[in-house]
Amino acid sequence: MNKARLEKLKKSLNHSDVSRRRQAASMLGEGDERAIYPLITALFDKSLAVQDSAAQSLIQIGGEAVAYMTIPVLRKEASQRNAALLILKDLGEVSVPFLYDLLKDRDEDMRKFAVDLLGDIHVGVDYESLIPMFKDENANVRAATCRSFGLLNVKDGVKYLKEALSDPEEWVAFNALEALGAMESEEGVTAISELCNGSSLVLKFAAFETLGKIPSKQSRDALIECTKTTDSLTKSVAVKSLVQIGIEPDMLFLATDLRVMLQSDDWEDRFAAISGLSVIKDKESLYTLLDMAGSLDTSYPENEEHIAIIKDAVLNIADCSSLLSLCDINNLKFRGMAILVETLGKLKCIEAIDTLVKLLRSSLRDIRREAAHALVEIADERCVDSLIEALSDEDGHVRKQSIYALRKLKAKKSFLPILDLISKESYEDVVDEGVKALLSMDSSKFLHKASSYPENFKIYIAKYAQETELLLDLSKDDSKSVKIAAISRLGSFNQQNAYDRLSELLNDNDLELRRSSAMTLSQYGVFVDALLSAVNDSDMWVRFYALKAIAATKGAEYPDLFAQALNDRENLVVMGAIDALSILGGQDAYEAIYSIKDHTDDAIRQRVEEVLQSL
Amino acid sequence: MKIMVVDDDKTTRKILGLYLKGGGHEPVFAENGLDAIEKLAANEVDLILTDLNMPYMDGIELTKTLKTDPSFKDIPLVMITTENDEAERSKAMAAGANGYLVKPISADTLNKNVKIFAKKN
Repeated sequence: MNKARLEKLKKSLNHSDVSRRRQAASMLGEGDERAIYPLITALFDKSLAVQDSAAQSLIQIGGEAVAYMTIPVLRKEASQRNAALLILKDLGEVSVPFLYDLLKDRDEDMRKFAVDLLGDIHVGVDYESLIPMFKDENANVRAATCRSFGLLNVKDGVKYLKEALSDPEEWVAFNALEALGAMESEEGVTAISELCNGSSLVLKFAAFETLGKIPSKQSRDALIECTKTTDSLTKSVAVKSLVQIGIEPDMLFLATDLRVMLQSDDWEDRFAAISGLSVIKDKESLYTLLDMAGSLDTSYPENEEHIAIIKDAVLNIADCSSLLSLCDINNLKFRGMAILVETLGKLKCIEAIDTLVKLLRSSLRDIRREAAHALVEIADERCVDSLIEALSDEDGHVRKQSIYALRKLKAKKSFLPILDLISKESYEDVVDEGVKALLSMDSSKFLHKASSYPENFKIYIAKYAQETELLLDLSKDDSKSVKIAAISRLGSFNQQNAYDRLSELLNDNDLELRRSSAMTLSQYGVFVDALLSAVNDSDMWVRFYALKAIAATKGAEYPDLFAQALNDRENLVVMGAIDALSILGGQDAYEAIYSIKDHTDDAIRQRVEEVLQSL
Repeated sequence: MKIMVVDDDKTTRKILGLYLKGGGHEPVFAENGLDAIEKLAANEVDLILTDLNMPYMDGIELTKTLKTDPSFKDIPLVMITTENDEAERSKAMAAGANGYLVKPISADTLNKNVKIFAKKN
């Protein structure tokens, strides 16, 4: 960075406009050691954004000089102190020599910061210099030392951590436990186990959890022993840790505890129980699992995740006969029943075919759907006739699932029944599925009469067809909807005749066809020369998508187009141009966007501000 | 009571969480000031315990922000930090903190103070 530019940026650090100061702080990051002092000063700016940019720039410059000049900032106000901690941590190894001196500082906070940073940096740290800190008079420094040893993962440190387990300050012992857990220290297991019988409830909890982090036979045995002696309050933590460490399929003695844990209100406990029950394949818990899934309200997104976990567990635990025996239980909630049926399919239970065919006639729609789906999974020829019969079910979803099943089974004998069904079908999604099935079963037979099909058939054909020629024909169909459906697929074929047709359509008299073409080119990231004139189209959507398509393909070659579009009369196009320039980046893009920072529209001004910050 | 613990150190969050659970409270956790503000929008809490030194938004900045926001200004906020000096305490109180506790802290002391600050509120 030349002197003039450096001086200009230093001057901008005192500008009254925050965004100018922030930009200057950010750009000084490209400088050398001459930029360090101004940036250290900028850490004291009243704006957090400027402070943050200055910190990032100091990290970018890096080196010993930055570390040396940052150390004194640790003694300043909270916000500067935190910036200094962040900088020294990110500078990494170069900070280390300066931190050793702080270990002897009179201020206990400085000693703690130094210990914390040495642990966080961990590369190039001489752990022996930290050992005396286990005896520091201040408990926070001792606790930080335990934490840092955990991060340094030094085997020689285990003996000090074991000693720290009996520190008079519980807080220090807790940190020592966490460190031993992070180090997965087998050597620490005996000392940790002793805390399982101690008087501190918090340390007992933490000891169980720590043992759960050390994957060894010794810690597993210690935990098994603890589950026998501990009270019911802490037993669940011990069992949970055992599951975490990994239990064996023969540990059936845990089944009762795991079933109790499964009834907990806390999902973390339930997950542990589910995981343990899966390992020991406890079939007695299947009903509870299915009932639990059945009672979850799927309108809450987190419940979707819970149901997925339960489904996996049921699949892992169950076999065909255990599931079939539950089919007759009437009080199983329908969602639980649906999971049961789905699992029958996943396990490909041939012996469940009769039950599933019966369930195709269930009064509950979800059960009928899952039954049809399960029959697909089983994919047995014996299902075909039942599925063809189900094509006349009163429920559209069952009809759709049946078509799907027949497609998966490649059941050619269902070709005509499906064609017949979709010819009079009122639900579009069923027609959609039907067209997909017929194309998959025998496309030449189905497409033979394509020109005579109704409009909706052609739309779905356009959606799934794999032949460019067919789509080119459909893009010239009499129906505009068919044309649009075909146009939207043309971009997906990497073929010149498809691109030529899209170019041609960019100049069509019909507005919707021009829009579809521009949208397709933008969606598939295809560049055609006609896009360069489409940015001046009378329709804002065509201009918007044309800009997007150019930005995604040859944006770097046409920066002026985007700068010009910043003055478009439509806000949508202006937004598109801002986004395109933000992707391009660089000083010219910054200046172009900066030129409209006082735009009359609120949303555009806000977007400009966001993009300028990110640039 | 539902109590938010704001601290960038995982171990501190964990031990304070265990102490609070032992006192019959429900802890919710945040890793720094910004995270706390985001989580406060979704969680109604009775008390906030915040560390002082945290990245992104420190305890003083968080206190100032919350105490000037009508939605949060009435939630009692206690600074809980390793820094045991009068100057830091004064800065925290000037920013609007309702109390200042020094780490390490025992479960008993923490829960007694939680009771006091909640009662004051």
